Amino acid sequence: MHGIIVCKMKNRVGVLNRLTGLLTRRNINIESAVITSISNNQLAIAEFKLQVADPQEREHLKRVIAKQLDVLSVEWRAKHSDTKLVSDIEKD
Amino acid sequence: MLVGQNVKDNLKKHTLATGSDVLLETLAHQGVELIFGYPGGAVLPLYDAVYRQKFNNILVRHEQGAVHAAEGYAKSTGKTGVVFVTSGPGATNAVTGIADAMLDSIPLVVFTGQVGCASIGKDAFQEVDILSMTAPITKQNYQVHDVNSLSQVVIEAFAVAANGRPGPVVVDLPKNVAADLANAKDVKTNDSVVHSIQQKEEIDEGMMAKIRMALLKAKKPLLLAGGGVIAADAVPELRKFAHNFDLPVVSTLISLGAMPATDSLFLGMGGMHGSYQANMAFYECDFLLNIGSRFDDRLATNVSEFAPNAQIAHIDIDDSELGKVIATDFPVRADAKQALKWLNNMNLSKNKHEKWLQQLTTWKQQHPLRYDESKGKIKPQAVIEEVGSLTAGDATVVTDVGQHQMWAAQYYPFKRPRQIITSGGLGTMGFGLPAAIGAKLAEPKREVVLFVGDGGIQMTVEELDVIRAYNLDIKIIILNNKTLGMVRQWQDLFYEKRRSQTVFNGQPDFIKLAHAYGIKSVKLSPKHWRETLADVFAKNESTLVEADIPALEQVYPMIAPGQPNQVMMGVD
Repeated sequence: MHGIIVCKMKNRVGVLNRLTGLLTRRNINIESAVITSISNNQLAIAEFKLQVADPQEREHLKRVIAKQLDVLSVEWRAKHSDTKLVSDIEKD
Repeated sequence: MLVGQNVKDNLKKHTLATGSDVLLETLAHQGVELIFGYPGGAVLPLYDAVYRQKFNNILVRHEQGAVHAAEGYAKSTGKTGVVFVTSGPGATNAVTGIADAMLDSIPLVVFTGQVGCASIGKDAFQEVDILSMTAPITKQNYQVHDVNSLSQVVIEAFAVAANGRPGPVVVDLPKNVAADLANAKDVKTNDSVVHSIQQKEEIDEGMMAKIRMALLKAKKPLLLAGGGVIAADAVPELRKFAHNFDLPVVSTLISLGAMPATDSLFLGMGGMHGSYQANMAFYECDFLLNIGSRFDDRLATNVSEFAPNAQIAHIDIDDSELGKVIATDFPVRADAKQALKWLNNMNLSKNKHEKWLQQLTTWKQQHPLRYDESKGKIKPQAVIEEVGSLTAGDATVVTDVGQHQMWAAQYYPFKRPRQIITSGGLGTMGFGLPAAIGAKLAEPKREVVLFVGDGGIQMTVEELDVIRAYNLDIKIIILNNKTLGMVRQWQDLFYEKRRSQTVFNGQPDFIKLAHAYGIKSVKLSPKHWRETLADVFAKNESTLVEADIPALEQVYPMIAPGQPNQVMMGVD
């Protein structure tokens, strides 16, 4: 089952490496990615299109990403966000 | 405590403070008494500051030893262990220890030297990308590019390592930053980041109330206490909770000592080599409350058949552990101490599951841990029991990894938290000897006993020199079966006795080896081994004790891989 995992995070060196490492470890391919900086480059939003079928695994993945120190929020969505969506997340 | 401001004030006393001085000042204000380290080219400025400031550095003989020693220190005290290693091979040698600390949630801050900022990415001498290498095995890692940010990063690193679920943090320190001059007025000291890391979330009282209701209804309740109870210093609360409500308790390997071995409510360690009653309790219980254990595969050996009759509550400080392995009816993200305090305050009657307690007692009596005495041979289980008796069950017990580790877990009468120091999650052979050094340095007055196999001791044997150099009193007991015993046991049981590469074709003379390192040594004889051991423990000096044990001794009970907890081998 495809889904988009959306991560709002601090815009720091290495944070993306940590996130992609969590996916690599589980042999999850990033089918597409959109990375946007927000808040004057202080924060960033990363969206990864992934195939993770098992609901338990999806929830666990969300939680291990969420516990990364530089990650502020994580959620699964059905599709990549448009500009409005990014601005909504920024307001969170 | 405003560590940052104190550092700033103290730096004003230095006429010329380098980044390395800033670092050591910050460590001192974090309460760091000693570091475990090994110098090298990239950390020359750092070790120059260590020399000038007379900072207490324990000079190990290999960087892996430094990290394991820091783990031993951290595990026995609860304080954060600190490591200095150089760049390149110094940093990569530390990787195993960092991974070990990550798996067992041990707070460490590991400083890795790095080539100067201008050389990073240019394949300079002894340059590796340690940030990428350690990203999956650290809670966080940093590379410092500005001397004025160094103190701030270090303060944050300590807060990250110790708060929430503890774990290792790496700070990569380029050589030029370590050597750059710092001006006290420019050093950043904002403590607010620490406050945000230290913030605790409110406990989910609604879910806790559901746990209370489930406990009220339960006829066969069971408490599983994991390493989180130890990490949260929640042992008094655990014992109070268990006794207030007559709840039987199973521990994990890491949490041995959370309940005294002699406690009537304690069922022993659960899992692959756990006690009969502990594993049967998992099978039979109708309510399982797991506090601070991660349902590791050595504990829950068959996930789909684990605690099949039970509603399961899981309290863990790490949200990602909830539902990771076992579907949980009542998940609560909370610190173990916070949760146990809540549980102790609830209104719950006692003694309503007497039949269950009687059943557990019957299992305990009918199927105790046992081994065959064998005339003319030294049984490893008997050695551990004897050491338990000689030390009155009060020693800090450090183990390496393998059969001896399981025998120590089964037969040493643990009675206090932080008493067992072992590599649980990563199962790192070579952990024991340096970890014992760290434990002894942490608590010099405490008897420290290392149980180690003939395989594991050879992986970090160079650290014997540290025992000599610092004149430490550690009793090192090699249980020598001349094989890689645990792997051999699996080969015998599941690979039709094809002992591929597990039987050593010759060994060093461990007695002479200890002598070469300046450490007293003695070999136990089958006839007088108890007297010899008594002599060893009567003296306050390091001794390496070698006991030749039967090569084919097995660790039982054992749950075969994939089997559920109630299906145990080696049980009468």
